[in-house]
Amino acid sequence: MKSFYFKTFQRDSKVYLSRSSSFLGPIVFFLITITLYPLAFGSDEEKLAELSAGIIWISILLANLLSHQFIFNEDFKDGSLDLVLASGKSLFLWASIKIFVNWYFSSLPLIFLSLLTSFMLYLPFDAALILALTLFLGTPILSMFGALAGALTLERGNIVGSSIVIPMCLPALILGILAIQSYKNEELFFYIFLLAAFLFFSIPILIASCLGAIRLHFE
Amino acid sequence: MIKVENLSYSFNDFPLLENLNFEVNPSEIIHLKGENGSGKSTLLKILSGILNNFQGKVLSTAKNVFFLGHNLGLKDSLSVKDNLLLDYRFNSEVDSLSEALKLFELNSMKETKLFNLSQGQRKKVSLVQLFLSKYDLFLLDEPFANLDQKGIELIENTIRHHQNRGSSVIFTSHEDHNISSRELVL
Amino acid sequence: MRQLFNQLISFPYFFKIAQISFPYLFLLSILVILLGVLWGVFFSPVDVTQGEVYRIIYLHVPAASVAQSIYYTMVIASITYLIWRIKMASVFMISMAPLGAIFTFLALFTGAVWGQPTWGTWWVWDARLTSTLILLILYLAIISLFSSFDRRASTDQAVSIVVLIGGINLPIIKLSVEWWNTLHQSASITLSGSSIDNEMLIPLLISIFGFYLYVTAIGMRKMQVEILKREISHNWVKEIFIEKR
Repeated sequence: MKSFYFKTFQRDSKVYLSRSSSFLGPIVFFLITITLYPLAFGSDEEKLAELSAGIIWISILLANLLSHQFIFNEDFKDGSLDLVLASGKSLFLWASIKIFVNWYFSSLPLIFLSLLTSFMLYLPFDAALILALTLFLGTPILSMFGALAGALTLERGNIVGSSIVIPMCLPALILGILAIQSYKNEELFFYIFLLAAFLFFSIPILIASCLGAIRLHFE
Repeated sequence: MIKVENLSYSFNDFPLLENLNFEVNPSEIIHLKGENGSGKSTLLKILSGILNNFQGKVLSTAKNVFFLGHNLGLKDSLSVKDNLLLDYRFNSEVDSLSEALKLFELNSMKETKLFNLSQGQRKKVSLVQLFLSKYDLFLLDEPFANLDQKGIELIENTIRHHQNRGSSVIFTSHEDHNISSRELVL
Repeated sequence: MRQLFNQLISFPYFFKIAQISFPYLFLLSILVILLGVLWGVFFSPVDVTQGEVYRIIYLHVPAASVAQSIYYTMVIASITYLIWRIKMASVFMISMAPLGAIFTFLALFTGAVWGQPTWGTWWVWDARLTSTLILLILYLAIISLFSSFDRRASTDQAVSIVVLIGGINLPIIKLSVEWWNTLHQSASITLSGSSIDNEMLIPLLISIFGFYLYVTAIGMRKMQVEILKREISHNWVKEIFIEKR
């Protein structure tokens, strides 16, 4: 007999794998946004190189928020959430697993993809590696904020969620981009450290808030 | 098995349940009756621990509780088999699955994705879960809805089977069923 | 002390207190604001570098100060609500958020009016301006949450969660915006710290005090409205309004 948490992991993974749209959606969104920037700003190599870190970060932020809103939404609608609550198991681990699986399927591919697109936007290779590192630390933060937005608006699933979350994500965005821009000097470590700290402290606070937000719908 | 004392629950200041008192003994089958909107589903959700913002006391000696709600908790994009095995409530042996599927005439659809199934068939899938699971207390919201006569008899037998194992069952339904030991009207 | 607190968080008692004190408080706040602003505009000396236009600080600084303070008090209210479930705390948050948004907007607007003749531009992406803009967005996001739930208690809790997370996050946002700013700042404009003359400071302080009085008065009024919305079916509301007739 499998444990509750292993079932959660397997169930969610199978759902993602069986529906190509759930992990292709963010990829398509990311690629099209990346393409829009050179079309809007022109293909000047110097200009794009200067903007590229920001372009990639913003595109990932938006692509992520779209997908993470629905982490808890479907479980709420089909009644799985009822069963989870009735099971009496710790919801903290359950929510963490759900967020992780979502991150694994929708953010991780984007991190690898961002390495490829950084060449198209003329970002130097060293900076691109830092970009991947900052995304690795930053995207889980976005996932958790997105999950919180989704948990707050379970019944409606509307734009309100993302408008709450984007201002909250700013530190991650700013620290990530600052780290990339200072990839040649020592300040880099300072910003990476801060980003990691932000991630570290976000985990307990945001997941607990997600649970509080889910509970709102069951009072 | 479960004892309810002075249970009250209100939604936006509108009282839905007021001062309920009742007791359920082991091996008892309770038929919960009441008009639409009388709070039957809400009561089952309170007893199962889904809703916990109520007044009064719910004392339970049941070690584990099986809940079947209006929304069945099934995933459209998973196969029938995955839906059963990866269900949070599944606590039986994997081998027993195919026999149960045969009994409910779902064996041929084992690998079928759930979105290909009709409402009645979906209901049956969740009832296979009910058949397989071993719990102390079963809380079933409209288990007979969307089922044909044959399905209804299967469920009645399943409920009796759980009763013989010493479990208690509380179910809601608008029709009369002769399996219940007691009726409770809200 | 404890008794006083318990009375203040009971709806009927607060409603009565607010009903009695609102007219005085409101009138006083208007008088104090007029005193501060008129003194500032007509009697305080002209700024050597900026000329007459600096006088908008008698509106700008109080608005900016009130806008931030409202958010911090809302954070305290959100903690109070989440821990002790005191309904008054959620009434407070829901009533104050729109005021916060208005004053934040006022601060940005007067800032722009001040900036145009002084630095030749309506807007700079300076650290302080940017975080004020984010504060405005945060207020608006919180207000947009008000109608997202069917249940009163759910709205209250959702708002408290967002206010609290925003409160934890706001200093972090400010810090990161400052780092961002020091790295990007190419224009020579800095808005920080020129010392201020006493003769300008006194009317400014009076004006700030007046703004706080005004927010208190209007906030109390808004809380009364919110309480009425929630308690309309309760007996004490009926008693008050039947007595009036």
